[in-house]
Amino acid sequence: MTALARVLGIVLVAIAFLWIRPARAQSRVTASTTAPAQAEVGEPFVVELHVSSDGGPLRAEDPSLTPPIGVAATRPSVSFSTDTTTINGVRRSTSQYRARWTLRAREPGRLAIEGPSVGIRGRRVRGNPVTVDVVPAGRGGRGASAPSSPPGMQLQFSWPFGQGTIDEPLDDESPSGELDLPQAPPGKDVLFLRAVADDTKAYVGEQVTLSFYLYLRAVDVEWTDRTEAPLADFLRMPLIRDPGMTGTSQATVGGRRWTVKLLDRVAIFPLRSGTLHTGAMSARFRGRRIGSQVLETSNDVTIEAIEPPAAGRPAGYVVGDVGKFEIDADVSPRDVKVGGSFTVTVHVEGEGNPPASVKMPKKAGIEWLDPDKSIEHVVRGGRVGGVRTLKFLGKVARGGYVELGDVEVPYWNPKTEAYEVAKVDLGGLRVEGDAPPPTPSTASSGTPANEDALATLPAPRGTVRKFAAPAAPAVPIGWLLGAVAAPPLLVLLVLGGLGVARGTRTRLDARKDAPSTRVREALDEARDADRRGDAQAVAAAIERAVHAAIEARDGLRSRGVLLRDLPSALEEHGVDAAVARRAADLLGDAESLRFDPGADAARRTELVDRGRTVCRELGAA
Amino acid sequence: MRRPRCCSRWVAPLAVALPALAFVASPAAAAEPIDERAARAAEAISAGREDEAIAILEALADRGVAHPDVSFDRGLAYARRARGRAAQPGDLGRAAAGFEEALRFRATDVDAAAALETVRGEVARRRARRGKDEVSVGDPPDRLIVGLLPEIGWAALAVASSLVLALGLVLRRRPPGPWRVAGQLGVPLGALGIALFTPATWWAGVLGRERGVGVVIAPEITLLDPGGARVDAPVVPEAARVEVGPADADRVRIRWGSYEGWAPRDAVRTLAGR
Repeated sequence: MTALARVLGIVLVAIAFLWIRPARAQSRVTASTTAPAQAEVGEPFVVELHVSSDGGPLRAEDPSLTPPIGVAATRPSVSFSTDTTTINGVRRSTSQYRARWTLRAREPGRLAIEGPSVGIRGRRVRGNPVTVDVVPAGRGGRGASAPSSPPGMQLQFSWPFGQGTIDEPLDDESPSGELDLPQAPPGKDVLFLRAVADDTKAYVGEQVTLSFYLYLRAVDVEWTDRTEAPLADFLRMPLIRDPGMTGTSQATVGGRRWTVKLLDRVAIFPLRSGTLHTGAMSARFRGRRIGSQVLETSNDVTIEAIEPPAAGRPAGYVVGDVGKFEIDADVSPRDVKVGGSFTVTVHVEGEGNPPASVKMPKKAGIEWLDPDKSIEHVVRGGRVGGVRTLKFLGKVARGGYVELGDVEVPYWNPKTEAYEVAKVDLGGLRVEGDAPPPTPSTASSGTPANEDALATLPAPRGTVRKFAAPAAPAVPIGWLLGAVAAPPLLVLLVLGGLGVARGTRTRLDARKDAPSTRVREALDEARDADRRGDAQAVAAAIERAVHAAIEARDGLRSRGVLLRDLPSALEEHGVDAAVARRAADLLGDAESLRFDPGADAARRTELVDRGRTVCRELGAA
Repeated sequence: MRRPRCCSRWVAPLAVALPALAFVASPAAAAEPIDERAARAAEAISAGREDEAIAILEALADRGVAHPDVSFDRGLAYARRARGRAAQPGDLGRAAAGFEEALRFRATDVDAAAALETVRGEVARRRARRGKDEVSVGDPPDRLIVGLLPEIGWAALAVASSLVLALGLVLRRRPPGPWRVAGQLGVPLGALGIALFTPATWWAGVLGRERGVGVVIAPEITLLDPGGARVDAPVVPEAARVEVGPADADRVRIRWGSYEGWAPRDAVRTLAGR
């Protein structure tokens, strides 16, 4: 019973697993648009498209916003993140994508902004349209309000990374006077915003940490809305979970103590070389001593972005691949058939933004399809790192053992100021099936086939060598049938002729011994003998003729029958009595004639005639 | 001063095509020996002027010049063009047709065999890149069997079988002994040979005279029934060798392995030679 319950339990778990799996495969993508309800003329405000997906990494591209007429818009600043959690062995990923446009209206009015869109997996995902009231400058507009926070509420950004992807809380303490300033900005004696970059020079693709601080002096304010810095030439990633919710620290500004609050901190990666501007962050505050909707704008930070040196740049290096990376790969399966496929999963992991692509080694007979990509970012010690996973599908076109070669990822290491190459050997692949024959050029040179197989074709001939077209005579079907039929037919004809001849001879021989033949011959002899005047020969011939005629009629051999008994014997065999009597008389007369050498010619002739008559009556002549 | 873009697009092709056409159509071309024209075409191929070489070699083919080296160079010209930017759809198929024709003239041409293999491999590779499956189909079974010998070879076997039958008929009449046994065996063997080899001779003649061999020179072919509906067969890829049957104004009936159907006439190039 216990065993049965265990089996039932396993079956139920399996059913539940199979039922859950399809649900995991479903990916849900949601998009929303946020914008301030109100903005002043000339005041920048932000429209943000926020896309989230619970079905794996978001591959969003080509964000688009169509601003209304009379409204200027900057290029979008994009950021994305993936939050991965594992609960009870079930891994869940939530990806978020944000695109921000900074808009500036020239005239007051009500702006109806069409929902911005972005391409995800081949289709456009569009956010909801928003409406912004643009009021004349100085009328207390709410421009530059934070995109996702309703007016009057403190901004609460959700932390896009998973729990545990950040290994230490951000320190809100002033690190050894770093936040001190010789003096406050002109006209700012109560509060101001300040943007600080940890470095103003960076390589393209290298992380720069940008922090935004609020300096306060003897006031208590509430942060209502804010507009993030455009960061148009940077890839940005948030570094703190709850912007604006950190503690405070102290700093000295112009010899006075100020309270400093960390509002936000982001990691930015220059996307191109040159002098790049982060743009200003703006926010609105209200407080008892300052009033409401006080707009503060931070300074614009300039970053000098340079490319790593061209000298010594390894082949395949892509500008922007900066950091410190390691690579590993898994090939599965390693035994395939010609025409089959296999998967190579490449993980590029390290500090910095992992390279977006890697080049697979070119091998004859192996074709690589575009990879599926995913990325997981982590933040450790304020530095962004991550794991880029690329799944390549390789298709095999020829058989044999194939060394797949190395996958190399060259990158610039800003710490060592040198190019480095992360490399992994993919190992071999056993391909079952026949390898195509080598082309003459490869066979002669022994070099492997080039990827461009057509390049291996031989040179043109030009000279027309002596050539005799192969003779292919047609075979008329009539001639063929005749030639095929003739030999056996000829043989059959010859054999048949021989058979006919043999049969004829046999028949002739048989007819020669027949009684009727003997009757005819005997009558002829009797006639000849009569002409010669030989009475004895006439008598003998007539006797033979009559006996042969009797034998020919009934098979009766009458020579052994006494002459006086002959008529009755013939009658018994159905011969007419008169004929039988005449046959017996004829035989008697012939015997008399034999012993009468002087018989005259008339008697001989009369005997011959009677013999012929009797033979005819007996049916033999 | 820059030429207008619309004009510059046509200048280069016309600069190649017009002299080639003028050469091909001129009386001098007709009078020029074959080997000189072939040499001129080879020079054009080596110089990267594949269009000019193709024009010369196709003109030779149109005049009925049947020579393996000319066919080989023609295939080479198309293959080279298929590599470059001037590639046109069907170039690989036409290249395969050239090499296949060279092999029909000279079956021992190993270079042509290797080049043909290379071109077909390239076709398969490009199709695989587009995610299209490669279907391997050989010659129709009857053509495969009948193609083992020339028509005259089958005829000789049929006549020999007839002689065996005749001899058997003679020997079987001999007195019991080895000769009689030989005769008794010879009769059924000879009859069987006649029954097999005579139809094979006839069918070889039919295939040689009434059915040609062609190569697909379109990216792919969908076989249709006489009513124009698609038959249950995979698409015929470029460079595939097919049997060419009767044709009407714009269609031709082809056999590809065990599949049979109608295809556009200009999608198949019938090869010269038997």
